[in-house]
Amino acid sequence: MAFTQEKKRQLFLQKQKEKRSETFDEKRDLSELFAGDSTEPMECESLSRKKHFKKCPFGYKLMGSEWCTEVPDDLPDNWLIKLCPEGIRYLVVANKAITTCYYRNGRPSFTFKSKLPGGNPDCGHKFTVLDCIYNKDVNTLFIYDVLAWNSMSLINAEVQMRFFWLKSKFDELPELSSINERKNFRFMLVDFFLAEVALLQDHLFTPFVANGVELSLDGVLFYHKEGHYVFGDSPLVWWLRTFMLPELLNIDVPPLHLRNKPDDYESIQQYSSKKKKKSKKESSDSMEMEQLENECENVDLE
Amino acid sequence: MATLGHQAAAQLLDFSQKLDINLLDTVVGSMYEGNGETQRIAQEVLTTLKEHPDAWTRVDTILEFSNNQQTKYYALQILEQVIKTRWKVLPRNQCEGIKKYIVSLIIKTSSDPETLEANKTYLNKLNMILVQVLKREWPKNWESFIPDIVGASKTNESLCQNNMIILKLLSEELFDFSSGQITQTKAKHLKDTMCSEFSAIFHLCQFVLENSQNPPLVNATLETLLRFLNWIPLGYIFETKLINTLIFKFLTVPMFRNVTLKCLTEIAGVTVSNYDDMFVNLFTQTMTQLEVMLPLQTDIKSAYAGGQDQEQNFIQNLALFLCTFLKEHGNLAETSGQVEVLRNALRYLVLISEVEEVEIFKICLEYWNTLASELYREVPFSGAATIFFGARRALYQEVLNKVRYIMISRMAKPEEVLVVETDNGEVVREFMKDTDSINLYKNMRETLVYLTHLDYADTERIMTVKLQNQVNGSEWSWKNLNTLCWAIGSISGAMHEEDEKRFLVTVIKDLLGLCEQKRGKDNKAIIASNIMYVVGQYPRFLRAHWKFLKTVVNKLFEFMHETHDGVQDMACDTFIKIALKCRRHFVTTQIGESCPFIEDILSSVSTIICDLQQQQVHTFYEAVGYMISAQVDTATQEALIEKYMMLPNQVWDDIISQASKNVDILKEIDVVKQLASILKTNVRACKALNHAYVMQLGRIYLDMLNVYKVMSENITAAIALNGEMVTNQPLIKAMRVVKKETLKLISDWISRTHDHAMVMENFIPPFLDAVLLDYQRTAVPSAREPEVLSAIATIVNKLEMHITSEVPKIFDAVFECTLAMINKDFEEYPDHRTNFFLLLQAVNNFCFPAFLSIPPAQFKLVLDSIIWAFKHTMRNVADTGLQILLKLLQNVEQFEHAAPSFYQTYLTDILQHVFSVVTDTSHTAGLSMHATILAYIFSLVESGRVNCQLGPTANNVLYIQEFTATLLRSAFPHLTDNQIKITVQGMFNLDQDIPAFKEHLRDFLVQIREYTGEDDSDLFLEEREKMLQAAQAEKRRIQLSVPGILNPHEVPEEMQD
Repeated sequence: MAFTQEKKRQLFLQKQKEKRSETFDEKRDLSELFAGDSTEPMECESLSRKKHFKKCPFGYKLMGSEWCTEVPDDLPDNWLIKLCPEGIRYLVVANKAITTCYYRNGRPSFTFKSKLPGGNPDCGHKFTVLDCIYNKDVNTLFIYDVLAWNSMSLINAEVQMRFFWLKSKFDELPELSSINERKNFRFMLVDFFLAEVALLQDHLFTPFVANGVELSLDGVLFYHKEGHYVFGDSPLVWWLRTFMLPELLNIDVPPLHLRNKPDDYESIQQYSSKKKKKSKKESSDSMEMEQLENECENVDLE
Repeated sequence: MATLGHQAAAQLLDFSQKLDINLLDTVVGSMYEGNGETQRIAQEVLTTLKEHPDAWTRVDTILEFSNNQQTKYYALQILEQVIKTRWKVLPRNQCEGIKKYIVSLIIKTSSDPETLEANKTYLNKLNMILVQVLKREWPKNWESFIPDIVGASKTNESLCQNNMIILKLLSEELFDFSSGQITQTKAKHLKDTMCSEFSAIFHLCQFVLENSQNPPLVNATLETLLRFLNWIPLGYIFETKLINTLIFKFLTVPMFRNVTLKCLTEIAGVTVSNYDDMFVNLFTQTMTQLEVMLPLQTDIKSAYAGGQDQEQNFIQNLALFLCTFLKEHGNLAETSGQVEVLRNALRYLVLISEVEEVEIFKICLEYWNTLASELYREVPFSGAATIFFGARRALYQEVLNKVRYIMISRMAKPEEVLVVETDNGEVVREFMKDTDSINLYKNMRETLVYLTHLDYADTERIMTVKLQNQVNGSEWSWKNLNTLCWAIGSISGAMHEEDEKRFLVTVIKDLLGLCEQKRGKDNKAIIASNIMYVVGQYPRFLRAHWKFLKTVVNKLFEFMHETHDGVQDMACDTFIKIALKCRRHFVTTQIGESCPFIEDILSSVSTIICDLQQQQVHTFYEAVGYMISAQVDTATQEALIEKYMMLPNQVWDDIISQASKNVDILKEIDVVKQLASILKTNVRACKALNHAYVMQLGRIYLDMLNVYKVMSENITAAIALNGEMVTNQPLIKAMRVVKKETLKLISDWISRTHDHAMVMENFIPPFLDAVLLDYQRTAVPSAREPEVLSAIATIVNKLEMHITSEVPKIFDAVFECTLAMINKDFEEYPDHRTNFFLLLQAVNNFCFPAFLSIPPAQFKLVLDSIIWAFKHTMRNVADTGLQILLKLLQNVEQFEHAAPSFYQTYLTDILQHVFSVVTDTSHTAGLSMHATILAYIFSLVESGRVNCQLGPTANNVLYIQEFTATLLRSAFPHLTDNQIKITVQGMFNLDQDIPAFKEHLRDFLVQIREYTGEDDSDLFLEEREKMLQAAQAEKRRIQLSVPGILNPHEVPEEMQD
C-alpha cells in the first residue's frame, strides 16, 4: 500500500531529525563542504558530451517539490506560502567574485557580477547560494530560498530560520534590488506568509508587481516550517499551479493567473497522471529547448 | 620625327626601289623599343606597309638580309596575311615559289638541334604559316604532303621533332579550331584525308617512340600523339602496343610522365564497350606503376605545396586521369576482380582532394559528386547499414567517410556580398549570384547532401567532433569556425527531422558555450554570426519551436543595436531570411502568447530600427512585409499594413503638409533624402506584400506623383540656371533618386498585381498625365529618366492588349523625343537606348494593332528605329532589335489587309539591312538570330505567304533570289557567280532548318574573307550543291508527309490517283 502524503511527510521529518543529530558534530567545520571546489579542477570532460560544462561547485543542487493532491490538516499551522511568477528556476551561486546561474540539471546558464557576498571582486573569498526564479519580462531574479549566505551553510536549518535569515540579510543589502549595470537586472526577495486560505485568497488578488509590471502567477509553493533544504525532491515542499487552487482550496483566482491553464484541463488527478504519462524524453526535450532559449537569450558580445 | 616617319614610309612603300633593310630594322626597332610619338609613327608605317598588296614580295629579302628577329617576325606576319586573304588570286607559280621557300626555310632552321632551339618562336611562326598554306593546298595541289613529311622525318631527328610539331598544329587546326575558319565541306574533306593517310603518321610516331633516344623528339612525339587521340580510329589505340608503350616505357620517366598521363587520360575517356579488357589492363597497369612512382603513404598535400611546377602538374594530371577513368569505367574496376586496385585509386583521390589548390579540388569534387549521387540514386534510402544496400555502398563506405571529412573541412563560402556605391551616391549591398566561390559551394553542398543521405550518422559524428575541436581550442580559428558552420548549414533538410533536431540542439549549445567561453568582441561577434547563420539555415527547426524562434528574433533585434563591424548587417540578413521561411508563424497566435508576434514587432519598430543604417532599415521593412503577407484575412492584413507603414507615413505626411505650405522645402537636401528613403521603404514593402500593397500605394499615390513633378521641375530649372554640370551635385542626385524610386515603386506594384481593371481605371490615368507629360516637357534630354521608359514597358508587358488604346498617347509623349536622343550615334544615353527598345518590344509583342493605327510616317519611324536597334554593337540592344524585327514580321503576317503594303514597302529594305549586319564581323554574336530572321523571310516568300507581287516579275521567289544575288554581288565583288549562286540557293533550301541555315551563313562568311580568284574548286561548291539538293529533297519529303502542306498543283501525279 502506498504511503499517503501525510505519512510520507512524517517519516521524512523523523529521518531528518535523526540524520541531523548524527552529523551535526561531524559537519561542524563547514569548509569541508567546499573541499570539492579546490581539489576538483573545473570539470571539462570531452569523453562524454553531456558533461563538458563546469558544474556547480560545492555539489549544491536545487530542492524539488511534489504535487499536492490532498490538503494536509495542519496547513494553517505548519506551512508557509510563497507565490511564484512565470520564470526559470536557477541555483544562483556567488563565489570567487563571480555570480553564476545554474539550471536545475546543474548546467551553467550565465554569469554576472552581483552584490551578493562572494559575487563580486570586492568581497574576498566568500560565497552565497540562493534558490531563485528568473523572469525575463521584468529582468528580475526572485529569491525563494537560501542555501548558504556569506560562506555559512543553511541547508540544515529549518525553513523558518532560513526565511528569517534571508530577509534580514537581504534588507542589509539594499543595492541588491537596484539594477545591475551590466546585465540590466535586479534581485527581489519574495515574501512568505502563513498558509491560511483567506490570506492566500487576498494575496492572489493583490497585484504581484516587479519593476513596475504586474506579472501573472504560475503557481504557489508550500513550505513545511520545519523542512531542511535537501538536494532533490522533498515531501516537505509542495507545489500547485494557480489553476488548481479553486479545485483544491476552493478559492477564486483572477483570470490573469489562469493563463497557463491547458484547454483540456479537468482535475489535478488527470493533469498529474497526464504529466507522468508524458514520456521522459519529451520532458527532457522541452527542458533542453528551454535551456537553449535561455542560453541564446544570454548571448552577449561584451 | 613626323617628317622622318613620312620619309621612311614613302621609301619603304616604293616598290620600284630596292628595299632599305636597315631602314626597316630601325623602324621595327623603334616600334618595339621606342615610346610615345615615335612608337606610334613606327606602328603606323609598319601597318601601312603590311596592308600594301605587294608587301609580300619583300618577304624573302627581309628574311634573308635582316639581322633583327623582330623584323623577321614582322615579315612572316605579312606572309601569313597574304596567305590567309589573297592566296587564291596569286599566280600559281608564285604560290609554288612561296611554298618551296617556306619548306626550305623550315628544313634549314630545324635540321640542326641548336638552331632549332635558338629560333623557336621564329620557327613556330613558320610552322603556322605552313599549316595555313596546307589548309589551302592540301590535298589537291600537294597530294604527297603526308608521305613527304613522314619521309623527311626519317632523315634527321631534329627535323623529325619539328615535323611532329607541324603535324600537331595541323591536327589542331582541322579538328579543334576549324569552325568558322574554313567551310564545312572543306573541313570534312580535309579531316577525311588526314584519317585515310593517318597510318603513315602513326607508324612514324610508333617508330620514334620505340627507337629514339632523343628526349626532345620523344616529347614532341608524345605531345603530337596526344592531339591525335581524340579523333584517330580506335584500332590504332587498342589493337597496337601503344598503351603498353605508354605505361611501361614513358609513364615512369619524370620528363615524360605528364604528357604520358595526359595521353592515358585521353584514352580513359573513350567510351566503347568492346575493349573492356584493355581498359581494365590500362587501369591496373597504370596503378601498379603509380604505386612505385608515388607510394600511397606520400603526404600529397605537403608534396604539392612544396613541389615544382612539373610535380604540381603531375598531381593535377593524376587527378584528371583517375576521375576520368573512374567516371567512365568505374564499374569495370568494381567487377573485374581488381577491387584492391580500385581502393588504391580512391585512396589517391582522397589524398589529392586534400591538396590546397582549388582547381585540383574541383576536379576531384566533380567525381565525388557523381559517385555519391549515383550511389544514392541507385538505392535512394538513407543510412549506413550496408547489408540492406548491397555491396556497392559497402565498397565505397570507407572512402566516403574520408570524403565527408574533406567536404566538411573545406566547405566553400555560401554567399558573397558586394558593397557598391551607385551613380547616385547610394551605398548598396548586392548579393552576388554567380561567382566561382558560390558555384563551388553549390557543388560541395550537393555532394555533402548525398553523402549525408548515404550515412547521416557519420556526417553528424564528423561535425560534432570538429565542433568539439573548436570548443577545446585545438582547431579554433575564425576561418575554421566559418567553414564548419557553412558545412553544418549546408545539409539542412538532409536528415530526418528528429535527428536533425537532436543534432542541431547540440550544435547550437556548443556554439553558445563557445561564445560564452571566448573573450573579446571580435571573437564573440564571429561566433554569434555563425550561430545566426546556422539557425537561419534550419527554418524547419525554427518552425517547430516557436519559443526558440522568438528568442532568436529578439536576439536579432538586440544585435540591430550593436554597432560592432558587420553585426547589424548579419542581424538584418538573418532576420529577412527567417521572415521569409517562417512568415506564417509571426502572424498567428502561438501557444502561450496572447497575440501574434507581429503585433509586438510593429509596436516596437521605432526602437528596433533606431540604430540601423538606411539600407538596413529597408531590409528590415521588407522582412516584416513578408510576415504580413502571410496573413490571409484581408481585414486583419490591412490593419497590420496600416500599423506597419505608420512610421514612414508620419514622416511622409509631415513633409507633404509642409510642402503644401511652402514648396521650397522640397529643395532641402535632408528632406529630399528622407523622401528617397521613405520611397525605398515603400518599394521593399511592395516587393514583400505584392498586390496587398495597394492600400498603401493608394494612400500616397497622388502626393507622390506631385512630388515627382516638383522634383522634375526643380532639376530642369537647376540645369537651365547652372548647366548640366549641376547634375553631379548631391542635391540633384538625391532628387533623381526620388524620381527613380517613384517609377520603380509604380512599375513594381503593377507587375505584381492581377487586377487589370483597377490599374487601368485608378492608376494609369494619373500616371500618364504626370509622368509622360513631364518626360516630354523636360527641356534637357539628360534630365529625362530612362526609368520612365522601362516603367511603361513593364506596364505594357503586364496589361498586354488592355493598354493598346493608350499606346498612341504614350508614343506621342516619349517616342520622338527619345529617338532624337539616340539616333545621332550608337553610344550616348545607353540606358534610354536600352529601355526605349524594350518599350518598343513590349508594344510590338502585345499592342501590335496600335502600330497599324498610327500614321504611316510614324510607322516608318518605328521600323527605322528597329533597324537602328539591330545595327548597334551594344549586344543587348542589337538582340532586342532582332527579336522585335522577327516578332514584327510574324505579327504582320497575321494582318492580311496590312501585310501587302508592308511587304512591298519594306521587305527588300529589311533584307538589305539584315545582310549588312550578317556580314559585319562586329555582329557575329547575333548570327543565330540573323539566320532565324532570314530563314523566316525566305520561307515566307517561298511558301507563297506573301500575298502580293514584290517586284516587276510575278514570281516572288525568283525576284527575291535575284535581289539577294545582286545585293551580295555588289557588296562582295571578289566572289564568283558560282559562289553567289550556291549561297542564295542554300538560303532557300535550308530555310526550314535554322541550325543548318546558320552553318550555311557561317560558310558564306568564311568565303567573303578570302579572295578566291578563278579557281573555286577548293570550296567544294559541287559537293555543296549536292548536299543542298539532298536537303531540298528531304524538305520536300517532310512537306509531302503532312497532308495539305503542298498545293495540289505541286503534288506529283502518281499521288493524285
